[in-house]
Amino acid sequence: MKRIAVIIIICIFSVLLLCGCSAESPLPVSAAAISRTKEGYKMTAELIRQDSLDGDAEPVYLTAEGESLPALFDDAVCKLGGHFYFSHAETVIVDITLAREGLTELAAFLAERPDARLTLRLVVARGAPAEEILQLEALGESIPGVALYDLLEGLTARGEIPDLPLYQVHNALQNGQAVQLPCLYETEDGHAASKGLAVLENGVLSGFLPEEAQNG
Amino acid sequence: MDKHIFSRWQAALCTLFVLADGLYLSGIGWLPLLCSAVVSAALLFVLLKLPGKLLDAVCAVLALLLTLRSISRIFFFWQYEGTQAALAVVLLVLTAWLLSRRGADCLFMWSFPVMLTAVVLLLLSVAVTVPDWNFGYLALPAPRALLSESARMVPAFLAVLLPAHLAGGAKAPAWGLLLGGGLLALLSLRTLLLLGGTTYAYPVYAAAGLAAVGDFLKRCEVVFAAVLVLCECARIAVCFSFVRTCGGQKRSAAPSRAVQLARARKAAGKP
Repeated sequence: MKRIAVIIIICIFSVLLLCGCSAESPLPVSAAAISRTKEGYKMTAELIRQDSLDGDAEPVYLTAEGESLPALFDDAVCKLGGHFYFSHAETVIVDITLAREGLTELAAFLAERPDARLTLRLVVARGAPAEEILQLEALGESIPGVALYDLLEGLTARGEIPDLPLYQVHNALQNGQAVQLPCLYETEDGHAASKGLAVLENGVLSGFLPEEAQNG
Repeated sequence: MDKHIFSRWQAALCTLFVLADGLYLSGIGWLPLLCSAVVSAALLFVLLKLPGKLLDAVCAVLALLLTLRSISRIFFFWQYEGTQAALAVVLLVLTAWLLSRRGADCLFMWSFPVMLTAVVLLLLSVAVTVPDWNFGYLALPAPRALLSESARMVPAFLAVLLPAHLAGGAKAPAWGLLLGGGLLALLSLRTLLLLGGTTYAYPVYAAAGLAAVGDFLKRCEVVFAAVLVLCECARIAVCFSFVRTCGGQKRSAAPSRAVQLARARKAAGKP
């Protein structure tokens, strides 16, 4: 009986080792904004702080830079002393600069990362840089990144934007198919909202729906 | 074997043994998996008719190789996942060793409820992803590719020789192999219909991560992986159990500790 108890405890402990959440992950990433710069890439990640005195979670923002996508994420990992937990990220806002250059590499890179969710959503920022859209005050949620995800999920459920999680975007881009990603913009009262779709052909931004001139 | 091992126990352990490959399936289609499972099940009957000593030798080599293979592949999987791989592997091997210490018959008996649980969880994991299946990805492989992929999986399935030799028969292990092969084919099919032909490091695991029930039951890949890790644990336990059984047969001439104690008391004149 004692032996069975030991085996059960070891099994439970082994299973717990597989779990990503622990007391060592105080700053999970909820969303990120990625843009193209002259030097390479820039990422603003929204981390959730859960240790405030009043018990509420609050967002903090980390900026990382790198010449390539692996270098970008390595920089973020270095800046957090190895505690960069991307596995909770549900939305990645892509700047229009990056969308114009092509998203095939980004989608492939994220899909191959073990800590990136295959269900995360890629969206394109319009009219404002992606990191600004990410940090806009959220309605009904204290964390903008989480609010953006709820907004996108709600619109997807209503059929107003296509249901395209990362793995489907990656698949379509690998097969050379056109992809329509939702666009986010800043409203006059300073909140993020979704309007229109960015059309990617051969992985590169080719226009917007409803059709209009690209004005970024 | 001193105790009778029911055929359902034999089949269950062989199913778990085969399912241990589930985490690492990559680039193998569902149809080749089914074909190779059927061929391997037939070959199992032939292999178990080998002379006893030759079979023992083959199984001893298999036990060593399979243990090393299981340890290395689970180590790399845990490393990929960002888990403390070395510690997790030590715990897994320790659990397998404790399981094997109870004897092969207990291992067979234990495997039946575990197999039922594993099969239910795997089927549930597959069922909740059905709405997301894209049947556009489904395509029959070319005959040549089918043959080569099937041939590639036959040696992996034939490792069932080890638990079959422990069980002392081929019929029930062959059914276990077919059930395990069928489940692997289902997992492979689910992966294809969800992820298409795009390559991932651990595609079956990645596909399991897409299973979700509403907003509250998400990230089911941990449960999925835990089930397959348990199968890996059963596989290592079978290897250890085979080694212990062989060692036990050689030492069977020596009296047990209880008998030795009784003899010593009798010699000392104690009751």
